[in-house]
Amino acid sequence: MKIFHLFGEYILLLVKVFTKPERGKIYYSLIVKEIDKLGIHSIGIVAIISAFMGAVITLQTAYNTENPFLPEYLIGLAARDSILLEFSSTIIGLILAGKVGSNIASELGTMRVTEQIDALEIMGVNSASYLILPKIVATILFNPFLTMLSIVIGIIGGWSVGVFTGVVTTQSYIEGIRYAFIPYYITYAIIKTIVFAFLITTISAFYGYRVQGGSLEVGQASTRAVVMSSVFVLLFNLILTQLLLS
Amino acid sequence: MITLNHVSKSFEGREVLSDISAVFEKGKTNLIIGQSGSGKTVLLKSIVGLHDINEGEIYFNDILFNKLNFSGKKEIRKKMGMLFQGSALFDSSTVEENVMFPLDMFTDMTKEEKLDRVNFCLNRVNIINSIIYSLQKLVVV
Repeated sequence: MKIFHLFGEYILLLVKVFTKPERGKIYYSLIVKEIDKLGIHSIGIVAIISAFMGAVITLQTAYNTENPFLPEYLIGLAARDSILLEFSSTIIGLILAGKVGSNIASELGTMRVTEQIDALEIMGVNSASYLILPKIVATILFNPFLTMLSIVIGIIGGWSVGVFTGVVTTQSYIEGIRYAFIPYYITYAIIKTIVFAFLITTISAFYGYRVQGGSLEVGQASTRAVVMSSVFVLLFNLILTQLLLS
Repeated sequence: MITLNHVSKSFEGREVLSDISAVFEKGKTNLIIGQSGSGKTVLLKSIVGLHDINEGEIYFNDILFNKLNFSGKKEIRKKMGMLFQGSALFDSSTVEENVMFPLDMFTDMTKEEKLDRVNFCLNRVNIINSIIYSLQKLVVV
């Protein structure tokens, strides 16, 4: 029964979040701040993880396809499809669930326990909309850029390590990258990223916004937000893969 | 005038407020005194609608406040002021931004007008550069 209660509370919070904002101009500046905080500050970690991810995929594919009957361009092809279809959107989603999710939950949780959210409500401000909506819009707008960046860096990381270790030539790798390319895969990755961005932001905000207690509870809410965001990213990855690729 | 009729509030089965009735008349100063944990803050937060009460009625003049929807409560809340125990300042913002916040949210004043108003308010409570705990309350005021 508790799960239905939580789901009901989550829906009620979303209804409150998506009511008409008081002043659009203020929201615009808040969205820009959130893009900086949640998006631009994530570029570094996304770039590092993507480069290593691309490198490892290339090496593993090379060692598993060591066969004279298999063309070398398969390494580039496998790296491209793995990065495009799964790794960039899902792994980056999971990384952001940890980084952005804990950031959102702890920020809102601290605001709750220090009565800053109550102060907003007393002033007549819709605190849920004011605090959460800019985060949702910011991540939905910026995370597709992070995924695109991850795809590019992942492919470059795979190429550089592949060529450096001698498991693939530049020509074969590029041939594999270009071979039987389906542009829809990019749309698929972006759709997944947008859904994950919504899930990560709203679930983390939900756990942070409803904190009761003190600093201990803020920490617990932050952990719960990361765990639940990650679980739902994986669950929706499965659902979206079936819906969009079947 | 604020009127409380038989207000009760409990948290997860634990009753904090039980059958409270009171009248707070306009222009009068009222004190709510009680031991730590006796429910003073819960009563105050219930009056301003931060806690939903389980039973009873809370009236602001003739308006049944506790039955209003979110937008109805929002309009009445704009006329309320509340000083929180922990000041509830936006700790990642400057003093100026804290004082300016309601002006940003609810007025169409220009930046200069808002700054004039902020300086006027801060000068009234003699806040110049630094904020220590006791002065935090003055920022909220």
